[in-house]
Amino acid sequence: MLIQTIANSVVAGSVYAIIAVGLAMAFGVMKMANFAHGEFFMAGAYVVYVFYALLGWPFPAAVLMAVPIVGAMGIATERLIFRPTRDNVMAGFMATAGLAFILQVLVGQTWGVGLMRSVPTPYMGAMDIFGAKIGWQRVLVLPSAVLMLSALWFFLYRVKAGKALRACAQDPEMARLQGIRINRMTMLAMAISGASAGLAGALMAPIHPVTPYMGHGVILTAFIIVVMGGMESIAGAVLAAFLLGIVHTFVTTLSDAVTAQMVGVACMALVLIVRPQGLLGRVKA
Amino acid sequence: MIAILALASAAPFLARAYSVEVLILFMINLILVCSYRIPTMTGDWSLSHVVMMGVGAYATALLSKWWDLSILLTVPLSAVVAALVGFILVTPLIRTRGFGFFIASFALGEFVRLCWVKFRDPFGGPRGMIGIPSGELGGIDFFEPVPYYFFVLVFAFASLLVMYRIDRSRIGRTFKAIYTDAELAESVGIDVPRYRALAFATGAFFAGIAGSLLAHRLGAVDPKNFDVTTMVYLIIWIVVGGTSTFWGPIFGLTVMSVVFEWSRPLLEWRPLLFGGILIFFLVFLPGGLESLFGKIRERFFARKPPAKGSPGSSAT
Amino acid sequence: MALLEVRALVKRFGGLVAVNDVDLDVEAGEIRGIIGPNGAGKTTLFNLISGALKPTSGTIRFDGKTVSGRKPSQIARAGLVRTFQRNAMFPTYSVLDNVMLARHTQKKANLFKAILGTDRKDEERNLLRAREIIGFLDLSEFADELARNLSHGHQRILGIANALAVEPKLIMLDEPVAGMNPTETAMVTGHLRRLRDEWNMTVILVEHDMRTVMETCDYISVLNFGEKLMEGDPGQVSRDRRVIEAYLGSEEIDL
Repeated sequence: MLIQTIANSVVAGSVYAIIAVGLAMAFGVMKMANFAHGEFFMAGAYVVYVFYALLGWPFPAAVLMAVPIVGAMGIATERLIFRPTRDNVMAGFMATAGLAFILQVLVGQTWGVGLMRSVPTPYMGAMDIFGAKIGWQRVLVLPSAVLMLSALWFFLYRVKAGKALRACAQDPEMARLQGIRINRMTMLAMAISGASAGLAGALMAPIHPVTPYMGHGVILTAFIIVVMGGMESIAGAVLAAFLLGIVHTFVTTLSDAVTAQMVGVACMALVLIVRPQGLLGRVKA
Repeated sequence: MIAILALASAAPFLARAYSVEVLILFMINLILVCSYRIPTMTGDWSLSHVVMMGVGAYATALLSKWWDLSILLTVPLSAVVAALVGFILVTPLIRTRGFGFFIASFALGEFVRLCWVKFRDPFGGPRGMIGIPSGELGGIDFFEPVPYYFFVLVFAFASLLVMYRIDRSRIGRTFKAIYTDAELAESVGIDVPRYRALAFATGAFFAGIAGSLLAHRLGAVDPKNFDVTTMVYLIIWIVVGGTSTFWGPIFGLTVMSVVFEWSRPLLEWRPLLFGGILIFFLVFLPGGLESLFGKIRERFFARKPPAKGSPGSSAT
Repeated sequence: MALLEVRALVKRFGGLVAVNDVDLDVEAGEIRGIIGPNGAGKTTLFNLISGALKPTSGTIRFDGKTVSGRKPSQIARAGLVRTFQRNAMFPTYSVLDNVMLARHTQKKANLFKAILGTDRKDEERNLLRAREIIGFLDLSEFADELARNLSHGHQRILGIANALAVEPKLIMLDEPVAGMNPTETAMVTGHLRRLRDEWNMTVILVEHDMRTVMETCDYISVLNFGEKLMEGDPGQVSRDRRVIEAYLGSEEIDL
């Protein structure tokens, strides 16, 4: 039972990490968050629904399709919403709330609102770890998360564009003086941000109820993680994601999902009181 | 002012029953949208304001079902409860600013909402509570729309008057000073966190009045009524109108209420229209419609030498 | 007992010691200069005294009360008010409204009184005093002008007016003449001397411009590498070998 819960925590933490990392990175570069991040997650799930459940593509191919499609949505959001509102922090964020409305309606009107879309599980059966049973579909999330996070790390610390992105997040003014093109960077950040949300949604599609409104619960969790981690700290977001994964899973097991969400919010409030800059956030000098 | 009041008083007799219901909701929303402007005066955009309204509604449901209190008591008491809850929520929130405040207020608001979902007793769980009395006063049953309309009108007028006074008072100016330059405000001895908390709790108080009036009208409260979707509609009103003057949010609400009624045939497509309007305003007219008036005034009166900044121009 | 007493003040940022064991006594009615080469810890000391930063150790006593660790607003209400290097004013408010805003601390604002409008008497008294302060600093002709329309020099002086509005015993100015031409500089130093002579104001001046410091201050404390190098009147300081070396080591000096 304990091992089962721990295993579930790790899986939940991995999903949260994939979702929140994109949000934290976009915040680092643009100082703006995307309220439609949960809708990007939803879009990823619908990509899998369309390509895998409707068109009959192989599951991995459908998941990979979510990356460019939702990534492109990220780029479009950057060009059409974040760039024109760059000098007004609140405006960009609120405008993406409008975007969330639009995406919900478009998806709802295209594929129906009421019933959830069923995406059959491609990998039946469960893996047995020290007596704990985890569905293969969930096990799959873990290597995907590790792969994605290490790819991101490699990109940020080893690839030139990634280094530029980090420089941009730390000090945009300095980065500009060094000849880094800020517009390119914000676009790149939003592409990665969208792609990661889409990937998470795609992976979760077979085990998460797929509805136009599935983004609601996701965005709350993602925000809690990002605030706990320290807003723009990617490492902080990963740490907070796994912490919250443990908290959510244990409380859900012991009590119920609603209580788990409440405890999650309480954790965030606690972090804000004790350490307002977040777990791994830097104090502004 | 008197003309508006007279018009508002005559309105229910000129309109059909359905329209009176719409007018009642409009008056309630009027209190809500004006109360939302108070915390935004300090630069704090909260995402939990409709939850504060919900606190007022739930307080009313409990007060009138348990203790059978008169509507004259439930409304102010609910407002006080909302202000208290607002004060508790804002204590951790004060440590965040701008963006962090926005997100953290969203999470804390959800916490309150989840409490309603979780605790079936006393909050009724996911389906909320029903059977809230419409209230009556001096033998007049407020189930009838027209008497209740006047009851709401009195509260709306009083609330707006008080909020207008706050806007004009030195406290209102202090709020705006914090928005303009919090560091400078702190240096001249303004206790910035205290004033931000005051603004938030005051906003919650009036949101509580709106919630209470809504609960009595609907006869039911539901946690879904106070979720983030409703919050986004509130943001749309205030963004369309603008926040720098007292009249901006009122204007925005009026315009968007008309749009809302007109767009009824769109059915499920309506959120798309409203989302589009929100994006349009934020991208192309971030100051809202009120800034349009400012621009028009500038264009037509620019010939006069702008030598003396009028003392009344203190509103930012 | 001095008006401001700083004892064994230390501020560390991680491994860096920005202010190390500094003592400072400022007497009522003096104009005190705090100088030092770039990176000497002037700004950190300034922020520690005004409450923007919390000291690692040491105490700050002002007017007989310990103020170290208090919030900036509390320290301001105790009578120790700072100005900023940047233009510290509310740009969209008129000059008079700026000073009125800063006067709000004079009485605790009461929500109910404000709504009912019964605080009008206080407001009238505030208005009178605000006009007096503006008059003292020769800003009367701009009283109804928006702050952002003033010249740079007048904006800086408005910053001082905002500080005075709090009715301080001590004002602490952060490079008040930075970026000013000689006429504007003379205007500001003239105001500071009159503040000392006519209102018995105590002034702390953190300044880069040597000439201003030498001409205006009664007494000067020199910081170097976070420590107090020496103290003395302008004559003593300008002759001191250590001071000259400290400055020569870092930048040009025009004594």
